[in-house]
Amino acid sequence: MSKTSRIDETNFEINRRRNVKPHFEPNHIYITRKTNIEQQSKKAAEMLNNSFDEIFIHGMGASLNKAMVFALEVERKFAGSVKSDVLTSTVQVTDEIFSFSDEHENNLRNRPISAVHIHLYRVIV
Amino acid sequence: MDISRQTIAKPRFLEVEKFVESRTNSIAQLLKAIDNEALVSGEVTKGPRTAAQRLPRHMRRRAMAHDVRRFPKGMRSFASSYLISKHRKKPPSRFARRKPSNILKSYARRKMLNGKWLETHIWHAKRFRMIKRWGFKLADRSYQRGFRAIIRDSNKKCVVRDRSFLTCITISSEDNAIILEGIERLVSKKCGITFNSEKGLSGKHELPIHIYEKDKYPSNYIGPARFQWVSKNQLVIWCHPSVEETLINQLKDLFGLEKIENMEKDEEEEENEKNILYSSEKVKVLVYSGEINRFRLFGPLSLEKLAEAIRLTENQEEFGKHHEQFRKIVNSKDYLTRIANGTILSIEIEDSRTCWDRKDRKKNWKKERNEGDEEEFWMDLEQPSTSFWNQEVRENARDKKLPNKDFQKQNAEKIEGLKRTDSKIPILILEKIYGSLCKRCGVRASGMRDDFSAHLEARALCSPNDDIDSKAGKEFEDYTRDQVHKVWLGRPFNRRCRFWSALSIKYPFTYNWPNLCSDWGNRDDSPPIVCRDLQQLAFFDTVLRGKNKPSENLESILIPVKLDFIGRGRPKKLGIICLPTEEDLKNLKINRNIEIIQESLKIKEIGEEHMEVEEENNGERKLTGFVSLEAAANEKPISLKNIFENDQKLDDKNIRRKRLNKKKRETKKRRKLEGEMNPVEENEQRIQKSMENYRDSANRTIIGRIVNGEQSLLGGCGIGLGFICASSLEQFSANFGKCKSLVLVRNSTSKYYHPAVVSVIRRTSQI
Repeated sequence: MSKTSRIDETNFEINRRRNVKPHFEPNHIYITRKTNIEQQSKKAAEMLNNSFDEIFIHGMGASLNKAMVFALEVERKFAGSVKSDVLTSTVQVTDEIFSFSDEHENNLRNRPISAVHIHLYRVIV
Repeated sequence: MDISRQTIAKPRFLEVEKFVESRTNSIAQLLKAIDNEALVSGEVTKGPRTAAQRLPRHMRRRAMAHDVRRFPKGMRSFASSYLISKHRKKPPSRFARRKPSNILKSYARRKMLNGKWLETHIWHAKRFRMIKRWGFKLADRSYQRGFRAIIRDSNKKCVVRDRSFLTCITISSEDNAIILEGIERLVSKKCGITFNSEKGLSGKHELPIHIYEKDKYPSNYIGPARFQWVSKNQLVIWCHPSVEETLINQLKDLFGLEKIENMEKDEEEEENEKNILYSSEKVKVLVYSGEINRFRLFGPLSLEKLAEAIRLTENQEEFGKHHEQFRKIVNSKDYLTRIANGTILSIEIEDSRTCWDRKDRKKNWKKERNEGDEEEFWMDLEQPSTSFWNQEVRENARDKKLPNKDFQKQNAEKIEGLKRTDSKIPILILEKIYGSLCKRCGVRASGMRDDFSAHLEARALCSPNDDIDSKAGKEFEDYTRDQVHKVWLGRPFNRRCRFWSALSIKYPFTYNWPNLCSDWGNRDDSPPIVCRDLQQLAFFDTVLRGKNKPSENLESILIPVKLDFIGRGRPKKLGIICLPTEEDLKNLKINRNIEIIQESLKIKEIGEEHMEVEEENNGERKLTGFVSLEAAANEKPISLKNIFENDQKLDDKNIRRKRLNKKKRETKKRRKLEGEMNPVEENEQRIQKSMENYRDSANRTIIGRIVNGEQSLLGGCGIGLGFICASSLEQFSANFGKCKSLVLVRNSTSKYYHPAVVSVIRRTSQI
């Protein structure tokens, strides 16, 4: 099945597989559509104040905007003592195409998605 | 008056012959007792006698029955046989019992009595509660109380479960078409993949399948299974032991098989492994039970943990490519998103003891990110090796395994420890990404209860417990019915839940699906059918989300559904799923935790009188701050006995005893009274119950029942799995907002209804 072909929803079901996180360290924050920015920014501020000199914020697809808003929010909170570097990239996500009948095959489909990785770090003023 | 008796004429002489003839038996007995040579002269005893009794009186000594040395030397050997006590012997000492040979003997004895043991039985039995199910002794739950930890690990790390109790059936024939022709009649294309699918025939995948009786789809469901085409002429089917018998009967019927008794094996081996061979002219079916081990590792770190626990062999000829591929997959960071479901990887490993003490396990499996140009690698993996299915190879691995003593000896001789032994074990790894030997690598072991709860957390039906229309499912239903009923009967009857009179639950211990379906319009006597048609399930899903309208002729169909509670509520097995009224929906939109109560039958009748009594009491309330002028009003009577200390203690005891006795008498009387009244009440209730429709027995219309439910640990809310009648869909589809369907759920032991959003389970049960 080609990457661009549309899928007939009466014969197939599409299941999106969870993407693998690139890092598991506690100072990596993953922003999704369901993340509460206000609460998360409190946590990030606490992290920067108490335990880490740098944090990484990752956002993907629909949460790109949210991730960037979040980064700006944290930066604003620290009023100049924290700076940011932004890196954009593309990640491959996988869809499982599950056929309802025996005539069609079950398949995997890869699809590229934009992602953003923001590096926030403390600056010695 | 003549009162004299009639004189009896006495015989003048005796006829000796006749006299003796009539008494021959007694004379023979007498002679036997007296003329017995075994007897000591002068002794006349009938019954069995001890050795001491056979001695003349002057030779008898005290304590002769206990000590053989009291006997004269010549009689000791004869007497010793009489001194064995009839009492139970003192058990052998703990030291003797722990002797390895004796332990093995007792294991063999226990295996015979209590069901088959898995290979990991002893390990599990020390740490888990073992229960007997499906002819096996299986680990149920850990004594380490790691229930929450296991759920957490299966979601984020790795958990291992022993699934060796599954039955493996291999079907082989010279011609592929013969197998396919027969076995395709057991499955339906509507339920997804069949044996004939391209993916299955490639032999690289083990795929789930639903098996029905021959040509009887959609009724007569047998159970879920998994299959793999090992080669073109050999098919392997894994099924649950509870459905094994039915499946084999079907195979016998399909291929005309006959059981072959004489397998060329020793007696000892037969005891351990009872592989059964069925054969006809063209087809051979071999049923393995207990020879092949199957472990299931759950969680995202499964493959890494497995890789840490094993050491690959250096068998370049046969497994060179497979091992290279395995290393590549383990090393890639994103194999979880790339590998297809059911992929089989075959590898060969060394004796697992060789990598127990290694400290550099993790170094060998360093993560490297694969570059993007490897799409082809993932799409076209190596064909798995068939050596696993070769009995000689398996036996070789088992026979060449070093005994622990030899292994330790050789291990100590080498600086880095023993790394290679002659025993090479072939294993198959099955990759299965779905919802959500390695103990020394920190992998948590778990039992059956954890399996059920993990299925519930993933909102998936668990086979065979939740396959309500299969034979195995019905057996489980009977099993739970008996258990729940036993618990209910075990309580004193004034503490028993009054299911009908208080809660209006018509069937508290069973689901009774046929009755419910007939109430919802199923006029045939045919048993209800669980929908496993994937397209139909997808359609029902759209109906519940308000995008379609339900079709007709759905009377006998049951739909598997999952329930997510939006407010309070912790669903339990045997709860009822009901339709909300319009008023409920209005109220629930305002407050999700509003109380909706099932009124008991008694309250309906005497509710009004109860209110009047309360009103009367309210009228006689005393004025606050009012002091009575009467002297007698403030006086309190004081017992004289309390004033005198000496008497007090005695009296207290007496009073307490009397009070206790009185209480006992009263409760006894009350119990007796209630016990007498019960049959009358019961009879009334029975009549009332039989008049009432199952569907309308509660004060909300019943559409289904819950088969499994609990408070979700990961979700933080109640979740449940159940079945609802398809013909009820029309009445509640998309009744809550635009695309949500809301139902009310009530446990069989509770009067409170709780709201839950209902959606269709589109993935059917798997093993």
